[in-house]
Amino acid sequence: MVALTGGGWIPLGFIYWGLIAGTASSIWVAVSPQLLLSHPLQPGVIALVHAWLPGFLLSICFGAVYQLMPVVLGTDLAVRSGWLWGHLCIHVFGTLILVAGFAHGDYPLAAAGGLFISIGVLVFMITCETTFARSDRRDAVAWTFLLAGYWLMATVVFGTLLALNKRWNLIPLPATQLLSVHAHMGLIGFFLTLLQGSTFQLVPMFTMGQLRNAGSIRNGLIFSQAGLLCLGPGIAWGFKPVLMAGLLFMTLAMFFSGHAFSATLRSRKRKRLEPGIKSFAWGMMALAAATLLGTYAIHSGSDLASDPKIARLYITVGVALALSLAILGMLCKILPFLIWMKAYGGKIGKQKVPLATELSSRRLEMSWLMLHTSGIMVCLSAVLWENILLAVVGTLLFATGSVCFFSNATRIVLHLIYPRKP
Amino acid sequence: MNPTKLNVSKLPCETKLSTIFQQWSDLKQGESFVLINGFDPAPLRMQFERLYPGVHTWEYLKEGPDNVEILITKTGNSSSEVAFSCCSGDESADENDDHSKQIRELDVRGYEPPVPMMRILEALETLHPGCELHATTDRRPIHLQNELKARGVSFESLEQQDGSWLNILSK
Repeated sequence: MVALTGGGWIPLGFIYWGLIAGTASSIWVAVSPQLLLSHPLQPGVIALVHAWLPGFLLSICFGAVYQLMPVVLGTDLAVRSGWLWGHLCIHVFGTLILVAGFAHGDYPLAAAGGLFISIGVLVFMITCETTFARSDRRDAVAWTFLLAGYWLMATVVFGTLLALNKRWNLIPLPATQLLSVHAHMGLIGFFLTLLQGSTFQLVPMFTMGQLRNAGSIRNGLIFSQAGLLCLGPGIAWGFKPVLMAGLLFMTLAMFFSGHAFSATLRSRKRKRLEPGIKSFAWGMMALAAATLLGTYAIHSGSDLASDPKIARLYITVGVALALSLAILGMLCKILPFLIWMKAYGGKIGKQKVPLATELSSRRLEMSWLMLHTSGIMVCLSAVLWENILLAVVGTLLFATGSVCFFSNATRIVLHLIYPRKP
Repeated sequence: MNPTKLNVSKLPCETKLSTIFQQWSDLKQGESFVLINGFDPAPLRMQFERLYPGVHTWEYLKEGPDNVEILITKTGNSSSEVAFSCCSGDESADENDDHSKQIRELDVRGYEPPVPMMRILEALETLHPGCELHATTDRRPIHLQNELKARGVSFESLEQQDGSWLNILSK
């Protein structure tokens, strides 16, 4: 059994790798802003999206889950730490190969990267499953960890098949539709499901509020899972009634989860929202906007092949704005706590230690939030009007924001090497 | 006479509560003070209700986004001022010592992590051998439990009917 995932080093390893990948990919897009206006199936764009999703956001989520799951489920992770170290190594290696494969249009290499990531995801899924089995918590928040693990497994296996499909045509369906299924499995299946649970653990904890509307949380989760089950076949075979049902379920999921989130946030005793919680709330609002954009795309019959602009807007709102704001907002609270535990946990009561909130710089957090959000807004305008100048400005703002976030994270991590003296 | 204003919004956590309770102790029956804080101190209110039932009033004067102002009035003489001593050299307002059982109680519900863990470990360091620390937390304190294991402290965590956790610690 592992006590707090390798003493906290494993979550930290995933999180820091994710931040490196995120900062590198934001600099990459700032150096090549034309990628923002390119077709979503262009190899450079696919590579960037994968540096962003499995490299950046997924790595952070792995770290966050390995840190948060014991707290939520009330039990230590039920796997040996050696397996999780293995997961970290294979994930780092896999994402590097995956991105390199896509960047060079070498799909078998990308598939090899996907395979490595899949093996890591298998470890993740087993960890979620066995820890869930050991726990006696069975509410919607607990279920989200297990369901997110299953969707992620399905996403990476399907993604690996897709990369192989480029060469051997294993699945006789249009590549754009298969790619959309893969994207929705990962984005909604993993990331949204995870957020539908972690939100209701973290927000009450860090705003001194109370978990409200448990029924809405459960309904939101049920509808999102039903929506995913409809969206997959609906997109793959272009079967409109199933697609519309999926969309209806997703809208209901957003409504119920949004309602519970709003009630939980309103119950907070700390009135002023910190940048992390603010970012989280903005991310949730952007998720609702992404759902509306998806609804419009389906209604208007737009898809990747016929209307790449809608796809670019959808990806930018859904991933760069919604998911990144929500996940990085969550990280603003998780990372200082993780480092604080490592640097000062053993010293509490024996000497004066700083508070966890004192480890990060509020100024850097606010600078990141403003630069990131304004950068993405300018990028959205660039996509909308297909204007390269706006793309240059937007990606520069965005990259500067990422550097601010990375600097703040490094400042926090440095407490491990240079702890504050009593 | 206008009641004294006590602004604790800038005070560090470790001195905030003792400052407030010192101000409360200095009040005579019928006197008040205005507590100014950066957020609504709901856990403090619970402590007042638990420690001084029927001898205080709690009135919100201002509930702004940046700070909260509360008029706290002593309406009677408290029959049981908070006792500190048995197991602790440290004074803290939400702690109660039961001399007969050698139990020290600590309620850390409603605080943002990792403040509950800090307060429990700080209290533990001043706990005399043979005494027990009964700490109430919002959730099962997984991170604390790992730290307690590392420090060789024996503990038991019991879920309560209201969903909170009672953690019994002894050295």
